[in-house]
Amino acid sequence: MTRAVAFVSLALALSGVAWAQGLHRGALLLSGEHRLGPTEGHVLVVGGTGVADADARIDGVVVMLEGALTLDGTVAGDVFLMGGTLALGDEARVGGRIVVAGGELSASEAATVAGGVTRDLQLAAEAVRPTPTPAQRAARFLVQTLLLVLAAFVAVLLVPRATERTAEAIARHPVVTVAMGALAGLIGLVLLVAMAFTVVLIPAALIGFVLFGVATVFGWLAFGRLVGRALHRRGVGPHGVRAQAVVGAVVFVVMLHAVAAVPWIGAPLSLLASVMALGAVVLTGFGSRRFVPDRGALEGAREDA
Amino acid sequence: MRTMLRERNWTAAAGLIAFIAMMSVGYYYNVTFVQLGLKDLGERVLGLGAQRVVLAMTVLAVVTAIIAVAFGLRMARAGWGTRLLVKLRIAFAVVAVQTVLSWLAPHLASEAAFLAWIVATAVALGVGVPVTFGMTVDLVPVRDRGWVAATITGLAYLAANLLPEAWTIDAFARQMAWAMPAGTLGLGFLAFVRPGWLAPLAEQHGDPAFGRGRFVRYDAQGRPRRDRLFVLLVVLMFAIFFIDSLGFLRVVDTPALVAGAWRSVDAAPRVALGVTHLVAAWIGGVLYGAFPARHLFFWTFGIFALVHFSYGLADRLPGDGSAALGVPLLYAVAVSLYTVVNFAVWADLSTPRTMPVNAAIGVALSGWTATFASTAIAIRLQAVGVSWAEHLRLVDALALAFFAAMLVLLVADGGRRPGVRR
Repeated sequence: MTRAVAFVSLALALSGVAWAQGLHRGALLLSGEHRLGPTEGHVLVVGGTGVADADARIDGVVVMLEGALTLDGTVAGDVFLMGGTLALGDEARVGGRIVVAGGELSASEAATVAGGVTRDLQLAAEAVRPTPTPAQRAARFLVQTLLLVLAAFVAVLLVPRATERTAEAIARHPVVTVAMGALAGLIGLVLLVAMAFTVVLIPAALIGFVLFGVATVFGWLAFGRLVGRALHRRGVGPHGVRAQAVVGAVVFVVMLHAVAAVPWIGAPLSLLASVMALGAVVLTGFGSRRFVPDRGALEGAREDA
Repeated sequence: MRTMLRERNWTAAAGLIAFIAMMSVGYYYNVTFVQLGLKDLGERVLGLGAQRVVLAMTVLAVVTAIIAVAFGLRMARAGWGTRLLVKLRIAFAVVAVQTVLSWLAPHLASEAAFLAWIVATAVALGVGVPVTFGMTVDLVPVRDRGWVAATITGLAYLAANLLPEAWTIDAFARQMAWAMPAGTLGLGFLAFVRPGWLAPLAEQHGDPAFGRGRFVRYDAQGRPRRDRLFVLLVVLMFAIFFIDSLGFLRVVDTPALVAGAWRSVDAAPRVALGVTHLVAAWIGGVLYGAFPARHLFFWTFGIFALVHFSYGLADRLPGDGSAALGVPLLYAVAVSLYTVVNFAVWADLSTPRTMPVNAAIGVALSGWTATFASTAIAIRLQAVGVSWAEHLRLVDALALAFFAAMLVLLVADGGRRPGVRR
């Protein structure tokens, strides 16, 4: 399952990269027969048949999801084979690696692949998103904290009641928020993956992933509200609501990073926090309504008793 | 349960735990011994053709449904819905018969004996459904029904994924050889020795915390009424069971999907499936207790439709084994969610008096009839050479049609007055 998710994430990320960075100077093969070259940017093959002759040069990366590609020219970057068939001719020259996560690869002995052929999905994922250095981690932490603080300030300024309702759902119904977050996360992922496989809906799937991110961050802001309020009650936080939200966001993001660094339990705990955040946002509709569990019949029973 | 523990009401807690144990074993018996074992018994042991097994399944479905509804009506007329001791005695008889039937199964040698065995099994199931589900109003408080249903579902599916060494009638019969006699003895002790602590349990249905279903509506005279919600749920459940079985039978006959999942020689995928069932059932139980009826059905059944529509993903993902487990895991989520609803909702749409009939209609008529009707159709489609891809398209189409129909039904029904909640 993890590998499937990794594969799909990779496919989406690569597709996104190809679409966002190179479509205007690259090629997208959906169906039919195509001859590539003489110069291309990135190439994304999701169907049909492509041929790159010996004089063709692809400056970017090649991503294959389906279809067939016969390559006899030069590729400057990596080739990612997710599905379909890739045939390397005698004149084929690949400057990077060929990462095989699916499909069929056949290569002439005379073909050259500078980075070699790998079937390691993890490696492929890291190729798209390399493991950060300590300096990069520190920078990312600072940027993330600053953005979250800014978002907390804006949220408490523009939608104070929405963050309050979301925070209330987390604080009063933690079990339900976990259940809802887990279900929404899982099913949302499946839905987005299914959309991505239609190819036509890849942009919508990407928007969906962004929405997921926004929802989770909004939930984090609600966590920040709770943390800020708790600090104030213990006499160590500021008095004003906005200041509480900002301080709470800072403390929460620091806590999240600190917890994530703990071996074994760190990752599950930070995942749990994100699941709760997502669940609270779904239950309250981005804070547009209060979440009240259905207790009508129980209340009736209590009145009778 | 918390109230029981806080008040040190150990009798009520023991009754609740006994109910969970009985229903878990009963459901395990249904999903393994009856559903999978029957197919193996007919096709492999007796060497019957697919058509004959289809006929047997149809007989099982029809007889189970008829007996369940008839016996549910009989129970309601006789007022047995409020008499725990009577239900325990009938349950004892049912389990005793099932013990004998499970012992007999591997020894059947002819089609006639097989059909007689099917009829006897169907009668036992038909009687068992209103009786065992009817005990919900005696033993399970309304507020606990979500997690109780989740526990039953999770345990049954966890065991179903971990225990069977093979999907053969012999393997299932060996398991039942110790589970069934233990259940018979336990029920016999309760039904005939009648320990003193049973009396307070038999009165619990009179407490609104037990006997007043969460979704029951009352008319102006204060009588519980047969809500449209009930009819809607019967229709939706029928559709769910139908689509589920239609897809599942082909899934389990598709080596690429099954070899890496339910029938993997490696234990890890089966553990993953069992744990997924547990977690999904827990999610279902939590949400069952938190959502009003319409939200609940929308989430549960909408997710079900989506998951069945995603079967086709398996064909599009690379065949490295991970996709082969991904689809069954999703399937486990959907099945657990709707099974939780199925275990809890009929009692929450009933009073103690109406529970036997409602359970019979809900569980037997919609569940059993749909399951075996679609199983029979799936076998028939396979026999006439309908390919896996064509079968998938049919399941996809039905799942989408179901989703659309559900939306229409919910919107149409949403305009009605919900009735008076007292």
